Amino acid sequence: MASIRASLFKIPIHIILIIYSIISIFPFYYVVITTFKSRDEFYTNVYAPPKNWTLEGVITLYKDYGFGRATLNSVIVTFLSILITLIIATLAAYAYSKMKFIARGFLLSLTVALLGVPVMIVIIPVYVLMSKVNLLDSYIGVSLVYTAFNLPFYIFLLTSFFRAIPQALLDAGRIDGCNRFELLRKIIIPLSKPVYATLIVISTIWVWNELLIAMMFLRKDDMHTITVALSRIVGRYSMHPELIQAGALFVALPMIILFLAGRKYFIQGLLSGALKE
Amino acid sequence: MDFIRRLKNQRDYKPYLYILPSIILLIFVFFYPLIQNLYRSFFRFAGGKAIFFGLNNYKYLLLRDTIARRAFLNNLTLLLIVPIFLILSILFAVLITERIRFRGLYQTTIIIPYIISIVAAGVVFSRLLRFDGIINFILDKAGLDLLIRDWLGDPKLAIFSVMSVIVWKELPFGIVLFIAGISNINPEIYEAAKIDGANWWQNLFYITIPQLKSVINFYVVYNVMVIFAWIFTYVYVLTQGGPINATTILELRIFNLAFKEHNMGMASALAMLLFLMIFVFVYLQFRLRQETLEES
Repeated sequence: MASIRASLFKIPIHIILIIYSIISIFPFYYVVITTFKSRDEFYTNVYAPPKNWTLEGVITLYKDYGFGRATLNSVIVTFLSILITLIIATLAAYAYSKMKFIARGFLLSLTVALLGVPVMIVIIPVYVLMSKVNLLDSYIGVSLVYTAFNLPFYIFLLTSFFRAIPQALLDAGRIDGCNRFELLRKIIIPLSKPVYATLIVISTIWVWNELLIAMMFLRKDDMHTITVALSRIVGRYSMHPELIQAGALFVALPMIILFLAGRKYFIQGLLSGALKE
Repeated sequence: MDFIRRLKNQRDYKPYLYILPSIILLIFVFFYPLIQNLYRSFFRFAGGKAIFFGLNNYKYLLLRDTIARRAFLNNLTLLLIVPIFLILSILFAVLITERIRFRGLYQTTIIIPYIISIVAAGVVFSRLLRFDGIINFILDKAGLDLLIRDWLGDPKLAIFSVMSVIVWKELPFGIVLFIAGISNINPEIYEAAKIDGANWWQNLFYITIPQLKSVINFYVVYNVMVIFAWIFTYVYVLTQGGPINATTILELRIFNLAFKEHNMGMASALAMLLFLMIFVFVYLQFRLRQETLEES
């Protein structure tokens, strides 16, 4: 009896969760059906799946609207910014966690305090600076900006992870003749793979999805990232719903795949940001 | 001068080499811009010349700039999201942590809005919320044609439409947070309550919510920051601040002052005001929490 009552009690829970799940993914239904419709069909059949599935919109998007180039730009910027962040943050976190030096605590707190400083508050002077040193419309310029915004989180997480690595392991490495840098490369980094996975998943999603920084630092058409390209298509070709929705689909899809593959790391990343408090 | 003496005794300079690249980058992207903003906020830039303007930029923004005032009020209106987030995320987290089937599936599905770009979400919702969009289509089919509205075009409604999109996209973060918070609650507390005959609602209000106090605290502070300084993209993609500034926000005002009106001095002043607001807010809540910690 008790178990039947318990499972009856769960039916409303399922109903609520199913409704919420539908609200969460309903827009994807709309995006997918619109992407694969021809323009003519869109105006006669808005909400049902296409009668004739077509790749017309997708092909036009990539061939004539520069979406291929934009995708490539996004891949380059995401990869480059994460690579730079990983190197710079690993070096800094190594020093903060395993070396003794003056002002260590102060510099670390100052770095971590920058976590969450709003982009809009600092971005205009950065923009002026970048234009002076000719780093607008360059992969490296925008990547450095993303790196700076990622650094506090990376350094915070890596420092606390490195700290937990026992000193005895490092001492053993030193006896084996490792110098300071080799200790990092041969002992610390291999032990930290999970935290690196977390950082990479979280920041890939952030950089790929970001609009404001990309829009300000990559102004030329052939430098646009995928989000900038999408927002421009919306402005210029609002009469082409199938192109716009195809764009939305191909902005979202890679991140959905990444999320499904690295779910565990993603959730860990979300929570470790909150644990800072 | 203890510090200088210690610095002289510091023989090992290598640690500084390790942190140097990060420090340089953070100086250029955070500290230098803040100083630049402060400096520029006292100037007016016209025809390539900088004219000292004293506090006039600030005066204008605080007293005369009706768009900035509208933006500030809109940010305040959007704070309504904070209780909505709190109630819904605790509710869904509690439901998901009930021992039910398909728990993992629900969890995965509901996180998806959080990981897609605001641009993609905005593009879809600006279609769905149009006058001839699906929301009105469904209302019409359901016989609720009284409720049909121009969701993004009506100045009274637009801000609430933007708010709904933000809730749709950002709610999963809260749910994930509270799921973790709930799993950290010691199960023995619930066992004890069970013996005392506590029902589901009593568990929720006398155990779960009080135990989540620190998570709730974090989540509220986090969301206030989000509302004031991290929602530019929603507004930019959905409404561009329109209709007639009905959805403009402080971030968008800074952006437009700088890039549409080319008034760098005024933009810097507004950026400084926003920075100050956030700084004071973070400081106050930090002090407040320290006091409550000391009391307990």
